[in-house]
Formats: sequence, C-alpha cells, structure tokens
Amino acid sequence: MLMELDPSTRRTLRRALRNRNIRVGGVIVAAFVLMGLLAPFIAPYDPTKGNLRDSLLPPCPKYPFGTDFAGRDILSRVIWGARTSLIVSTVSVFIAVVAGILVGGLSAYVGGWIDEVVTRIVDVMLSFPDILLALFVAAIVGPGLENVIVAVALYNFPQFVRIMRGSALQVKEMEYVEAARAIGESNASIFARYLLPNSLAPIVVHATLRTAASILTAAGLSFLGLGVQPPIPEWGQMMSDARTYLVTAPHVWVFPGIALFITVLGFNLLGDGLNDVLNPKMEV
Amino acid sequence: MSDLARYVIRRIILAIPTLLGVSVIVFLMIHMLPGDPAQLLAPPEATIQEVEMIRRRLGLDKPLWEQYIIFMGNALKGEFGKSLFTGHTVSELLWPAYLNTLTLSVLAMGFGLVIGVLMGIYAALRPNTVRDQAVTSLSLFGISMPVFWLGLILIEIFSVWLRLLPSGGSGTPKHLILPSLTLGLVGAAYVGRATRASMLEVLSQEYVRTARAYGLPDRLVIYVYALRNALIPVVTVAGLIFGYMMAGAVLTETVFSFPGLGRLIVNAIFARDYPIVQAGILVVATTFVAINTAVDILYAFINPRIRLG
Repeated sequence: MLMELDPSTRRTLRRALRNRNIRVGGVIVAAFVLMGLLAPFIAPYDPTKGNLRDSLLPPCPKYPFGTDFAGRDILSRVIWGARTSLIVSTVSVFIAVVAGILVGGLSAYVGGWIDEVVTRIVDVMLSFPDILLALFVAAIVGPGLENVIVAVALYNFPQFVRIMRGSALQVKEMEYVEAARAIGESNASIFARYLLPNSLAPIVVHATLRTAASILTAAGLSFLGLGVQPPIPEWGQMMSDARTYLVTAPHVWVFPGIALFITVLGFNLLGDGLNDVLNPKMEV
Repeated sequence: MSDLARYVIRRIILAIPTLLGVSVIVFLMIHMLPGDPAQLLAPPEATIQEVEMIRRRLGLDKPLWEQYIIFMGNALKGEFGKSLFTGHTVSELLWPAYLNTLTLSVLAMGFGLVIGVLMGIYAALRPNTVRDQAVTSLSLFGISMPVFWLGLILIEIFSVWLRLLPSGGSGTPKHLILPSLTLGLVGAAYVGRATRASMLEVLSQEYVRTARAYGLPDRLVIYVYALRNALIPVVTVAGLIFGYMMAGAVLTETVFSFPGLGRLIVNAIFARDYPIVQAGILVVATTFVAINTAVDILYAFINPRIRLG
C-alpha cells in the first residue's frame, strides 16, 4: 500500500514512523481511543452502579483500582472516563478546526474591513487566558456534556482562526494562486485546492496539541463542578471529591489522574513529533 | 519623538480596542444568559416591585448601548455594584481576592522562572545528551500535568506524609508555599522549553563562537554574553505564562481552598452571583492584556530591532 503513495508522502511517512515522539505518543493515543471506543466491552463493572457495601475499598483483586464512595469500580470508571474525554475533546476540536478554517481562511482571502473585524474579535477572545474563556462560556451555558463541548470549542476557535489566517495570508500572495485567479478559477476552488492544503500541516500539528489542552481544560471544568455532571464518569470530576478522601482513600484521585496525565502526554508527544516531521524548519 | 517612544505609545493604543472588546463581552454576559437580566440581578426572594426597582436603578430599561456606558463608567471607577447574596459590594470581595491571586501568581512565577531558566541552560549546554533529554522529557511532563492533580500529589507528600505544610487555607506564608509551587512547576516546564530553545540558538551564533575563539572564559561567554540575549524571548513567554497562571489559579485555588480570585469567580458562578462573575472575569482579562502590553514594551527596550517593525 505504501508503494501507491507518491515519493514525498512516502518519505514523510517514513520519517514519521522513525520519530520516537510519534511512536510513543501514537501508541498512547491509540490506546486511549481504543479504551474509549471499547469501554462497554472491556470495563469489568457498570461505571454508574455501585455496591454501597464495597464503598471506598483500596485496590484489591476484585477491584484493581479500588472503589469510590458509592462503591463503584474505579477501573471501570477510568475506562469509561476515556470515552467521555474522547467525545468532548475530539468533537470540540473538530468544531473549532472547521470553524477556524472557514473564518480564518475567508478573513485572509477577502481582506479589508472583514479581516480587520475578525482579527479584532480573535484578539479579544485570546485576552481571556487559558481556561478563563471556557469558564466564562460555562458560566453562561451551564454545566453538562454538550455545554462543555461548546465551551471547549469556543476556547479553541480563536487559535485556529489565527493559524489558518496566517498561513492563508502567505499562500494568497503566491504566484500560482494569482495565476489560478487570472485564468478564472473560482474562489471556492482556489480555497479548496491551494489555501487549504498549504495550511494543513500547521493545523494538524496544532489540532493534536490543542486536543491535549482541551482534555485538560474539560477535565478542569469538571473538576470545578462546571463540566460533565455525575453520574457520567469523567476523570476531572472523579478527582473533584478527592479532598474529602485525601488521607483515607488516595486511590480515588490517583488513578483518574494517571489516566488524564498519560493521555495528555500522549497527545503532546504526538503533536511535538508531527511538528518535527511536518515543519522541519522548526527543528532545533 | 524617538522610535521607542512611538512604539510604546502605539502599543498602548493598540490595547485599548481589545480591552473595550473584552468589556463588551463581559457586559453582554448578563444579556446572553437565559432569562430577564433584572430578575437575574435581583435576590431570589425579591418581589415583582423590587425587580422593577432594580431594573430602573441599574438602567436595564434603557437601550443596550446606554447600559454599556453606565457599566463601563462604573467599572472604570472600580465599582461593580453589590453582590446579590453576601451583602458586600463586589469591590469589597474582589480586591482582597485579587491581591491573594496576584501574590500567588508572582510567587509561582518566581519559582517557574528560577527552575525553568536553570533547567533550560542545563539542557542547552549539552544538547542531545541524556541530561538534555531528561530535561526535555521533564518539561513535557510538566506541560501535560493536570495542575489540580499535581496539587493533590504535593498535598499527599508534604501535608499527609511529611506533615510539613498545611494542605489548604490561607493566612500565613506557609499557606502560600504549596499552591505557588504547584503553579510554578507547570510554569517552569514552559520556561524551561523556551530557555533551552533560545539558548541553543544563541550559542550557535557567530559572536558566541568568536568570543570563545578569542579564548574568553566559557563561564563568562555563557552566563554573561549568551544568557543575556537568550533570555529576551523568554521574557515574552514569561508574560504569557503569568496570564495563564492568573487563570490557571482557578484550579489551584480550588485544590488548596485558597481564597483567591479564581475561587471567588467559581463560587459566584455556582451562586449565580453574576456581578461578581462579571467583575472577576473582567479583572483577570484586563490584567492579562496589561501584562502582555507591558511585556511587549519591555521587549522593545531590550531588543531594539523590534521597534522598527
């Protein structure tokens, strides 16, 4: 199958497979995705039903990660938590990428006052540092799975507008784009055939890194109680009552934390690796 | 007028529309919420007459732009109205919490800069060796670390096991150590990355090689000539991180029950005490814009090339 690809793609692919960050990050991300997809089949217990007689048990053969205050199996909840994180992060980043490509690309391509307005709005959105924008949106729309997706998508949106706009501005001035316009190629076709493919590398890299940030932010919102609500298993939310069990049952917050940390690490490794391979000039 | 003065003025003017935009969004919050703003801003037990009184007193019956001007006029005087439930004015609650978060962030920044710069130099001096890889991995760990989880781990170690530091609360300097270390370690990861990259770049430059070729002592070249230039981009990163710390403090403050701005905002969101939410978010965003403006100006002072841009 590799033979059917053109030589430069094959070279990039080979470089990617040799890159250690991509390999380690890729394995972690794949494990995370599989865990999320297969949660119903691999989780030993129902993540929402507990046995109160087994409340707050430390790790044991029956419950490898122990149980929480309601006697629910923490291993099962960690596995199902992957599914929640997977849904929230991929859907929100996907929405932000698509919206960012459209708004950023159009803004750069059309230029003029529209571009000016878009740039200003993006600047304003970026003035809410990090989790603050998501927190602000969450304060308006309220908690819940869908609302967290909206909050995290909005928090990612300005980043992708900025990237798409930046790279579209560069490509727009290229001679072959001028030539395409001169021979009467439609705007939509120029957008799809030149602007988009040239912006793809930075967007792919950034989307991977933003998935890491989004998983952290969504978990943070849930940790604060403003995100995904019980009984849906979510890592941040599982840790939110940790303070109560700090001394008596640290396993309650240790395991979801490990899962969250490794998952975010995986996406960051993958993103860094993709950056090395796709944007070789950035390499130090 | 000098280039520098012109740049400073232009940079400050550039921040104004951004801040206006931020204030518009924060102002509109109360109108984006489902429901009648006057009802939202009234205590839950208010009668219809009282709600109408609030509507008139806050000017909520006036056109939107007029309401915004009233809101802005008050905000510029530092007045954000009264908390809906606590009986305090918003500023009475806001400023002490702001001061706490600021103290926390400054301390965290101190930790972050010292640890990060040292890590970055340490790695850059021996690129692509085991120690460089160790530092690079450590920074990546720091960037991937959920700050609230790190806080819980530090509490487990220093409060539960070693019984050295309090696990939460405020009042004494001891209470500041764990929260600022938590925030600072995450910051150190970013500072370390930035320092390493910039140090590597500077060390490969001609003047450094020339200085070395002249036989100047290595220490002098690295810690005086190279470091001075390598730290210039780190300043920009540090400015951004400081803003992230003020926002990220929300999570840290929750873990340590620290009475800062982040916790004030989150508690106000739960209580639907919207004047506090508005004021809190406006203050954090304004601080962030102000810091970034200040950093850009500082950058122009230390790096003359930027002024011409």
